[in-house]
Amino acid sequence: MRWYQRFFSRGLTEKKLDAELRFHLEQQIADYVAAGMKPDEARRRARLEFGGLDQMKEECRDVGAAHLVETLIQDLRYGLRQLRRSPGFAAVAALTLALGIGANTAIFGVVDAVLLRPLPYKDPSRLVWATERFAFNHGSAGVISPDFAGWQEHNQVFEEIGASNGGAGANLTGVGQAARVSITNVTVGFFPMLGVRPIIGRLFLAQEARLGRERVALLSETLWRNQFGADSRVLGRTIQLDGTPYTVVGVMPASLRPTANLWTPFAVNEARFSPQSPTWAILTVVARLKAGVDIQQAQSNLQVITRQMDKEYPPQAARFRAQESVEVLPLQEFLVHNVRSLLLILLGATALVLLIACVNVANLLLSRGMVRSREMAVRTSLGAGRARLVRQCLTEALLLAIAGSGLGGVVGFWGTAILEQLIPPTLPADIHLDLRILAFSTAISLLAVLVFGLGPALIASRADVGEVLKGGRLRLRGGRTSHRLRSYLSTAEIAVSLVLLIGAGLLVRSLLSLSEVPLGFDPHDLLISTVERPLTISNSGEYAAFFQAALERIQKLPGVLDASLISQYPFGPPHNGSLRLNVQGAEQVSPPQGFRVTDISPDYFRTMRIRLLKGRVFSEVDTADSQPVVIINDALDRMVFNGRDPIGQHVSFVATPPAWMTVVGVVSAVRADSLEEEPGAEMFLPYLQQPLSA
Amino acid sequence: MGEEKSEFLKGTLDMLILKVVALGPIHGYAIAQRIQQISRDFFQLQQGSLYPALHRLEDRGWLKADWKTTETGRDAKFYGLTPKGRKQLEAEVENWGKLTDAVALILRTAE
Repeated sequence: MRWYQRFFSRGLTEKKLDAELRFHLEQQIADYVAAGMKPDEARRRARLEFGGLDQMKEECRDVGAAHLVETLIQDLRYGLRQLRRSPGFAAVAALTLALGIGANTAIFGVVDAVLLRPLPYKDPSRLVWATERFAFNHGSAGVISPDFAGWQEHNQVFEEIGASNGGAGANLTGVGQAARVSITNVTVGFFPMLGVRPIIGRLFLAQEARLGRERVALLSETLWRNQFGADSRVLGRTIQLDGTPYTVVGVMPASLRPTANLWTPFAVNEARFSPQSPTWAILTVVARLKAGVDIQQAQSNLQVITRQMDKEYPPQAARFRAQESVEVLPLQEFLVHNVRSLLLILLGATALVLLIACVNVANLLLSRGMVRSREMAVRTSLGAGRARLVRQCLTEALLLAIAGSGLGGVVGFWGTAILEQLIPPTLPADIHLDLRILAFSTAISLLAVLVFGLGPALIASRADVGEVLKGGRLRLRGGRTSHRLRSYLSTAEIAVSLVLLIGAGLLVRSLLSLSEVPLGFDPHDLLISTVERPLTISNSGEYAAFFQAALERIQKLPGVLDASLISQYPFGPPHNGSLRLNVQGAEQVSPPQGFRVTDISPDYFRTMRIRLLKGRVFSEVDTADSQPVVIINDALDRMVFNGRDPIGQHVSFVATPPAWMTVVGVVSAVRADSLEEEPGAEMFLPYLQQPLSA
Repeated sequence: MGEEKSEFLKGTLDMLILKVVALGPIHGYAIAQRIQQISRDFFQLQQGSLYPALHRLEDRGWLKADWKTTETGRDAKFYGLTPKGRKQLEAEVENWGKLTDAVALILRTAE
């Protein structure tokens, strides 16, 4: 009989087993009687020889798969009944496990998406990120456009090289409602190098890298759906970006990272790719290594090229190019380098939480095991082997784990949704709860069963039958072992919890001390609203009138104390700045670091509660027609004037011909980039004196 | 072996059962009797190991079982050898031969 047939006819099987054994017994009795024994005596002797009937039956049943499935179902049913009988215990245990498993599932989902899975690009292992670093801007990463041109032309290590320049914003008009969009410029080879394809349309063509041909755009899938209703007729249509017409040629998939709303091609032979150009773009460079070339070779090759490029820059650039260095990293490492340790710490912490949960449940099971020692003893005396009892206990633990991981799945789902919001858009963060993650959480659930179920099961199954049944007292032979194990578990639990608590405490402390860092301005009740210049405005007069009117109306709103305009607010998006400053009557001053240049309206310092240290703030008299004026902060004052009185000095960004501006005030510096960095140098200009293009 | 009656060597019980069953369909009680008789009471077969072994061999497909009526008119479970069981028996007998030869060889040579 096949095992499944036997399984479905197990009542019959049971009867047949009985009949077979009874036949044996009766045959034996008959033989003894035939040999001259009295029937009673014969029966007794045969019984004795036969041994434990139930035990033998159990052993006969223990054969084959039918038995396994059968006892599993029996155990499950019994386990369920047990859990139903103590719903409090079951709920606490399952919820504890659910928290642990859920947190682990969610964090692992992120770790998997960010760290483990290869980037969604063609042959991602050979993709690298390359950058140069200069001392003047704190060694922050970025490739200046002329150097990129040099790398592109002279390198011997890359199969392909591409660059992007992200973060620019523009007003999108011409289709439906106007929208503010982010634009990333990419070289035409950028997407083919990554191996990403548009979902409709085409990528940029080689000739679109030429100036005058670059008015084409790729839309992101998200923008396409939201703004264009996922209409495929969008291809070939003209959209306006800040009033300039662009033709839509394709739509890029939403999974593309780093993401943007729109991509437009970089015209590489533009003037700004020349070392002689007054302005440069700062680029992110990605390249594909030639087969057989390693990171080190690539790095030294680029270093050599950058050194040679030095000679092509004008002499005044030498200062900025001092101590330049080149760095090449695998693309994935670059994308995740600042989150890797964070994520791993997080994963470690949640693993500890799961461990605590398991220990907790183990403790619960242990104390229940004590209560159930009588039951175990009865089962042992009825012929249950130790393995059988352990299996029963493990089955109950498994039930808890199933309930726990079911609930844990829900927790994990929520957790993932929350975490997804926290992942910056530059990271590959395509989290989906796929088979790998399911496998992971199933694995940890099973591990959890073993960890928290096995110990209690082994101890509970050691019940001393005679002792327990005779005394009727709840005692275990392993009573002391059990007791010791419980105190070990509690100790471990407290130790691990302490580690987590200390970690969390330190985090909160760092957060608190960061929040106590003086900003230099008063952030209370401060609101920021972004106002875009309407595209219909074409000259400075209209520009000034528009913002003046807007400002007046905002100031009149009930509840508004002060209002002012600023071109770039503290802790806002990447900012404009300058690297040089000329002071009248002195040689050109190049501050060792760049400084922010911000356009403001007169009331800015009052609105922000920034202290004026010397001179005056801007007023209504500082207009486009009056003498150009500037205010500097004390950090810039120290850098440029070095103790001399700055008030009344004349400064200019460009040396030939100079456009002198008079320093009229000094304000205290504020933290504008990061809470951890000291306040940086900054210069303020009246917005009314700035040309429209700025 | 100092004792008159001995437990089975591990693994030999299955082989002996197969051998006895190979002679023709037979029920559990008779198998126990037969093994005891043939070994001249050397082996004391415990029911506690006989029946689990029978069920194990049946589960592996080496034995097949049928309910038949005995000469005394009672229903009993008769075990018979399957072709698979016959092969298994041959293999085990061959192995046993090799084993005893080897042991004998060692005992002789080591003298």
